[in-house]
Amino acid sequence: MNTRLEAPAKFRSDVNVWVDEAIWGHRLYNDQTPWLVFLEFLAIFQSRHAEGKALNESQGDGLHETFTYYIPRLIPLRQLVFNNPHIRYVEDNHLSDPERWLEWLKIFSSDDDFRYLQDRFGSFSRFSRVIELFQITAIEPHRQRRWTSRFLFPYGPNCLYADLPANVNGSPDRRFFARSGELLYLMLNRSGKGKDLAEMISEKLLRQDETWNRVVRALLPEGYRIDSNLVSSSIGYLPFAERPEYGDLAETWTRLLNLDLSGEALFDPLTRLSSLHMLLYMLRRANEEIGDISEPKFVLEIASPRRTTLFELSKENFGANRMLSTRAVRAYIESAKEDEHWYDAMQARAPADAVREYLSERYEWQPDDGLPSGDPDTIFEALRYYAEKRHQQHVAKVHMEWAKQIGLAVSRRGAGTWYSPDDSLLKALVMCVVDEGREEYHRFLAKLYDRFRLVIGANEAEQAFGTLPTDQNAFMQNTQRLEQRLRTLGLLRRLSDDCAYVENPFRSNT
Amino acid sequence: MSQTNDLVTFLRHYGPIPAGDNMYDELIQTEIDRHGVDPVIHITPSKLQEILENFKSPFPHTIILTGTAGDGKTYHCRRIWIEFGGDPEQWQAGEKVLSTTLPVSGKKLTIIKDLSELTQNEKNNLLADLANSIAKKNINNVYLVAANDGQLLASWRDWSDTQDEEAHKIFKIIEDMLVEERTTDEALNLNLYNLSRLDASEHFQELVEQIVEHPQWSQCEGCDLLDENGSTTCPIRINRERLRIGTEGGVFRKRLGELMRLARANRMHLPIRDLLLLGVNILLGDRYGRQILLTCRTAKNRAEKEDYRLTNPYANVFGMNLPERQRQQYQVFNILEAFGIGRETDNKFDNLLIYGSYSDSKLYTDLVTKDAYYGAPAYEPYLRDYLEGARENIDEFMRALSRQRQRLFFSLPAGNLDPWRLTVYQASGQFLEFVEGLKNGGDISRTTELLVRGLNRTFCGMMIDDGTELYLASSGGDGRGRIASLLNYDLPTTRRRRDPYLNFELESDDATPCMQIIDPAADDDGIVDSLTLQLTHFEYLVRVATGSLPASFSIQCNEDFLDFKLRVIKRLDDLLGEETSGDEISIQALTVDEHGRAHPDNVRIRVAS
Repeated sequence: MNTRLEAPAKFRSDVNVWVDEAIWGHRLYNDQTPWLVFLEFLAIFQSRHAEGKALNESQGDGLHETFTYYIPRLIPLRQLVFNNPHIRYVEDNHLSDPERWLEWLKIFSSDDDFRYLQDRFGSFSRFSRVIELFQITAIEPHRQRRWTSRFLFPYGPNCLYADLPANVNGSPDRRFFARSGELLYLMLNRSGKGKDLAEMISEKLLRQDETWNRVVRALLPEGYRIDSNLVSSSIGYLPFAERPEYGDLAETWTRLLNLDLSGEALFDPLTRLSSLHMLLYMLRRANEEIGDISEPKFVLEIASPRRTTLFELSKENFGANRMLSTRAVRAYIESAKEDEHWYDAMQARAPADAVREYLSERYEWQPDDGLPSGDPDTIFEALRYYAEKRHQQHVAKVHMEWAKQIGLAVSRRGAGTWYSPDDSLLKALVMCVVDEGREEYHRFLAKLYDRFRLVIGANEAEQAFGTLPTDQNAFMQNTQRLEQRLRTLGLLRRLSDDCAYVENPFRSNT
Repeated sequence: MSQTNDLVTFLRHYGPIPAGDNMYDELIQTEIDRHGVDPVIHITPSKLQEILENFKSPFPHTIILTGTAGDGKTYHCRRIWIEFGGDPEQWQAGEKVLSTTLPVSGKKLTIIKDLSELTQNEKNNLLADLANSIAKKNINNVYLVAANDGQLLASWRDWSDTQDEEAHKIFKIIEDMLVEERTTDEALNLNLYNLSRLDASEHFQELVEQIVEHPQWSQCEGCDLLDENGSTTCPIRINRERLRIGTEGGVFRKRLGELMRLARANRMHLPIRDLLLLGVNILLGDRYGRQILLTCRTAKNRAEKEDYRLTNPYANVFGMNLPERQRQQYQVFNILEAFGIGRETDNKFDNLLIYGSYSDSKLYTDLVTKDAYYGAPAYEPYLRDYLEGARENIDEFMRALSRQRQRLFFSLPAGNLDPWRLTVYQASGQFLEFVEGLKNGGDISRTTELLVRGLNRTFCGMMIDDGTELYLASSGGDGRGRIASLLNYDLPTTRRRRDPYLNFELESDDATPCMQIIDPAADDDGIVDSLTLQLTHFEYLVRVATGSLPASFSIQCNEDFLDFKLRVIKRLDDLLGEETSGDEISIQALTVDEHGRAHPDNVRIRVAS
């Protein structure tokens, strides 16, 4: 394994303790849902694309990428779509078109003058329908977020903008664009496939001529400069220059972008599978810190009317995976004691002071209420407690939150949380894994394990566990239930009693 | 005096009895001899003629036969072996590989009657030779190989993984042929017959005809249960009559055949072995304890006690004479059970069955009272208990009612009651008509209109009534929204000049319709995209078009249609996409008025230049 890249000093000094970031990067954050990771990524991509550098950032030998990217604020657009509560009222309560415009312009308070809209849209109802469509198709519309953290569906480059605090002209608080999108960007940049991907992304996902992207333009005032008043950020930190996960991630993107499907329909599977790769990255990194050489795995229980033994197994597996990051943090702190500096500090004239200095330097540890006093062990324990507590607040929650949001895990009151895929995730997996139009069912299961460590059948379970963790029959029924599920999704076709094929509806065989 | 008909004893071996291994071609021969059955019940192996001609030609192809267990693969091989002068004794000895020299071409024919019998080593050697033969590298050897498709693909894939690119390519072609149901490929010296793709309904008619018209029924003459004038109280003879053409059996067999055609259109396959099993079970099924199948002795018993409710042939269709666990082991019963016959009903039928006897309905008399074995006597005691009595036996009544529905389904003559209302797939009648129409160029316009209306409602999520134009609309966002009000394309449903249009065709299996978007301006066949309409899809569209859809029905179809829509829009965009004009955006917003008419509204938005 190669060594960690040096992190920018500014990042290191900005935090109270440099542990989560050192293990996984700066940073993963539970409030940033997979969709928002994806949107943040697109915004960065678009900014760098304009500079001609998208996913082609230079990496000096052994050096981390450094660059600054800029995201638009697009405030008038966001006001029209997400802070425009009277539009429906005006439409319903005023009969003539001129009256509606007049009334709405009066109520809709803003610094900008929106009279141009009447000229462009003609009828007020049409304008209202267009706004409604943007609202209905907005990202995660069910979540109660401030209007400045609501996002349009990314029809095109004009739909990308920054997450902002309530004061829209202030600097961002990084609540929802918390840099996980930066990590995704860096991973793809280091995949070795960056250039090809960049071309596909700009051609397929971020087309200027996409109709709704152009409608966005029509909503903005005459002469409005999207590139004025930009939010600027310097790119975050991803510790390792080379990892197999980067290539796997890029492979998934390539496969999905090559499908016979419009860009809009690809966002959902891209979002889900990118986060799945990032979850695997988290688990593998955690294992490395702990010194565990085993591969991560997700044991999937395919939903069943009756409780199965796989449910228990999956729940256990979920619990272990969820705890893994906390164990990694502990191991990372414990590693301080294996260093000769620890030994030196213990031998020093005032060991407590020496240990405090050593630990605070090694982990950039600077608690708001000052470093603790006491004997070396007390200080060490205080650090461990501090780092673990900080970890619990956000990074430790990522596994559960993301797994649920991408449809990999479910929680039920009284039953707990376990891995069980939803229909959209299954579809995304079929779209990605089945590459020649079709794949024999058992090979499909094998590929799900190879690419994503998903355990559904007995063969994969045996590989993942070394021996079968529960009876073969339970796994057989699990695969039968998946077959049934795929069939009802129109993704599987049985040829005979011993031969079935999974079919990718979006990849022609030619 | 009571007597036994050897034919009945023999037929039992084909039924769903526990020691089912006597169903195998190898073992049934012994039984035939023992009971002196002549002629034997058999099906002309459907591909025999073609295979024979192939091996008699100067340039024979290698032949692979695949299919589900019980499709007659071994049977084909044995007939070929004997046709080319092979020794039946040698065959019976059970050798795995046999070979002979073909008379015309002088080539060596090797027959492998079951690939799965070979050891790994033998398989690898064989596959190497086979690959050489079909890749035309070795022209002196040809093969006839029988294998289950899954095994064939698995062995071949494993073997080809250890070989060069060439071997993998051959494997891919064979996989494609199997999945795409092609018999030949120009690159290979091979005919691949999948016996599972053959029409079960024809085979079934052929088998039942041989069973019910077998000369050995004459052995019944002189039996106590059979009068000189031909009337009988023997349940076996009664059931046989019902299966014969010319009496009521005409309808019974017709419906069974239709069910098989429908199952096929839903990609459910019935092996020949199961067809034989079904025929025998209808005839001999017995619901008494662990009996399962009638013998001459038990048949006499039932007749004496008038216990005909135990031998009901219409319930036997669904294996109701078997315990549930056992029943589920047979593909044929699972497939037929999926039609829900007995459970499904509508008011018309239930009114007739429940109140018909009290309203002097002629229909009731004809349909229920007149059936002296499986009609009124098996049903009315429960009905009376339900309507007039203490209702102590509701469950029994429900079962009896369900058996009446089954009986009606299989015996209703053409008339004003639609038997398909008694099934899950209520549009089946229409489906069969539609397939017939596509096959013979009949008028399908009414059904087409209904399907298009169903498609429009599915594609747009609105109650559109129009069935002459196809509306392809998007929901915005990722395109999977339920309501799609942005019209991308409206396509005609008949060929009109050079515009892409929607067309319905029959699949190559001649049993399933498919819908295609066709671009007449293209150089090739012009098929932009197509979707096979299985029975379930058809039912879905018809139900959506008529405005009633139970929730349980919809996931698969909805997904299939949605995927199809997304694909077609993308492909039409690539094909017809217009250059965007600089200063104006034009969007078609689709609304529906209260009469179900769709109104595209062209929204023009000016863009700042």
